[in-house]
Amino acid sequence: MAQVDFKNVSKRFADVNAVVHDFSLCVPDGELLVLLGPSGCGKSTTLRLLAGLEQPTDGEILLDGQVVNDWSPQRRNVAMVFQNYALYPHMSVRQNLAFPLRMRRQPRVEIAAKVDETARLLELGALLERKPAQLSGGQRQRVAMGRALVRDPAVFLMDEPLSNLDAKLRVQLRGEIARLQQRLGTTTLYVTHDQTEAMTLGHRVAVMQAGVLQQLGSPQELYDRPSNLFVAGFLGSPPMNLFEAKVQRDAQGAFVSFGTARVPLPTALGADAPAYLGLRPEALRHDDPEGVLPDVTLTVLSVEPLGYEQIVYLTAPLAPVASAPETEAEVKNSVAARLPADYPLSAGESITLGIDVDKVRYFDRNGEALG
Amino acid sequence: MLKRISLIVLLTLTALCYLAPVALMIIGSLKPDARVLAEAGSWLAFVPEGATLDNYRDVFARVPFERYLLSSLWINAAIVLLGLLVNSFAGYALARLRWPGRKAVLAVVIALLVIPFEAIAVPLFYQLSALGWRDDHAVQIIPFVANPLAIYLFYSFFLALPRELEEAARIDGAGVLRTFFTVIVPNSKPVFATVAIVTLLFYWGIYLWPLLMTTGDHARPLPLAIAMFHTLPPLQWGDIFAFGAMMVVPVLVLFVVLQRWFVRGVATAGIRE
Repeated sequence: MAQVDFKNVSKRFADVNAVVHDFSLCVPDGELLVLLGPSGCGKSTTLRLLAGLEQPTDGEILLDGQVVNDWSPQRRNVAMVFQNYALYPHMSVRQNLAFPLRMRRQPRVEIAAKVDETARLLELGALLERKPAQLSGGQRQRVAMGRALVRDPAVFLMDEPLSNLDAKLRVQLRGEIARLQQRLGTTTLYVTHDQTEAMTLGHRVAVMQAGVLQQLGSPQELYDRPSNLFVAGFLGSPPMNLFEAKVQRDAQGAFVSFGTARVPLPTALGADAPAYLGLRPEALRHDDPEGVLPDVTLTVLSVEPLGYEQIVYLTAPLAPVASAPETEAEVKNSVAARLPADYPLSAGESITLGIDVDKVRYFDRNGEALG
Repeated sequence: MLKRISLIVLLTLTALCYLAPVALMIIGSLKPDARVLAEAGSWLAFVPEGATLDNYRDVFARVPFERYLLSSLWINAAIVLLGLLVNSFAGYALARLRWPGRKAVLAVVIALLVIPFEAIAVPLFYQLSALGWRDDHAVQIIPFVANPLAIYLFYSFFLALPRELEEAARIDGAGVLRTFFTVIVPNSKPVFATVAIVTLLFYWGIYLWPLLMTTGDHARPLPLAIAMFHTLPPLQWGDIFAFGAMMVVPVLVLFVVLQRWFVRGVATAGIRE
């Protein structure tokens, strides 16, 4: 059990710019914190810095208030689960589980007891004499978990532990990891590029991009109030619809036109003029019979039925944000709406939707959230 | 099908061509001396009629064969075992550890690959003679322990091992040396077998260096001894064949034992995923 602190940590490799830049973060004892970001954003490097596999160029890393920058990995008492599991191929499952204890020179009897206990916890009992090559992906993943938790580490580090598994197994093991962490209460840092994993597992989620921490908060906070355009465009499937906003004024105050809809700016914005406007797909509503919401009529471009709901792509009435990440051109020039499935639609149709103005988010010229 | 059969025939004939001298040597070593030369030009050379071990007894009677054999075994065992240790350390340091000058050293190692031993034999001889160091076993061992080819084979093999294995071991609490011996070595059997065989095959037959360095029987290895034996009158081909057979058999046995690993090592050296 331990608290983890990063204080202004930077990491530069000889040949490139900073991989991690001025990174500060406090993970309280017992928390499961997810580091989320696209590949190459520095999240794995952050984990490796904490593990002691990399040395920070600047800043301090603390475990329970002690600076551990100069500590070797073995001294830090952290355990890590690797993406490719990194099981020792020449050792049986039993030997793999016992390895961290053997390295710490624990008595044989204790090692045997701990290995059996861990095997029971992870239901590995029947596999103890097998070699890693004789295990399925999910079983290997479990052994890797077992090897990490067999020695009661201060901190668990997980580097994309589920990304080599198929979708179904991933969901199952995701649940197991969450239950296990809750039961053991071990501080855990979990790296992933999968936002579903991040949202379902993390007590808090730290979103990273280009080595910089973008936002830290609960999954719901991140989703509801993204702190900048990157987080807004990264989280959610489909992500937030982002557009250039032209502020206009009339007798009733400042507003933004979204097609035919007049979207009033919240007074909380004060004098700040937003440059961008963001709209979650569920902020476009078809269930507005009283017509209290400003409404807009748009043409359907395409429909993605998901069974319980449908994602509808509509013509965008405003210019899209040029820098919106990871979106295809067609999606980029459209606005996505999440609608109930009992509302059959096809391409070319027109549809009138209400805009839930409370759910509209605004961003300034630099992409930072307003209000 | 026809193509397959003709291929098999062709390969068999080729194999026979290569095996013939070895067979001739072994069969000849079992024949009375007079018949070895008399039958050499005919198929009779391959017929071990009236086999006898007289020639083998002769070798032991005429020269201290067991001493040459022990010298060779001792020199080669030391070169191979010390070499595995030293060169695997060097290969690992080059492949995995970060230290200043690493790239320069790697370049030098690769450059040394192309320098044949014969080119440096004479300078080395003068150097060691100046130190007064010659005519013992150590002088036939020490110069050959560090070997650029072995370092390079280890280097490229270790480079292809998944780095996470070592990182997992370090996090699990193993230091650099323990990581090396408990995780790297057990997963690198093919390259250790390859280096062992390549080294042994080369130094088991080395002739020039012992010729320069040894003067008497006491540190003389087999390749030099057989050359001396050849010139020792009376010239008896049966005895020479017996000597040669005894010289070849130990390496042959070791090769058969290790060849499973050797083949895999050659196949995987440097081109692993």
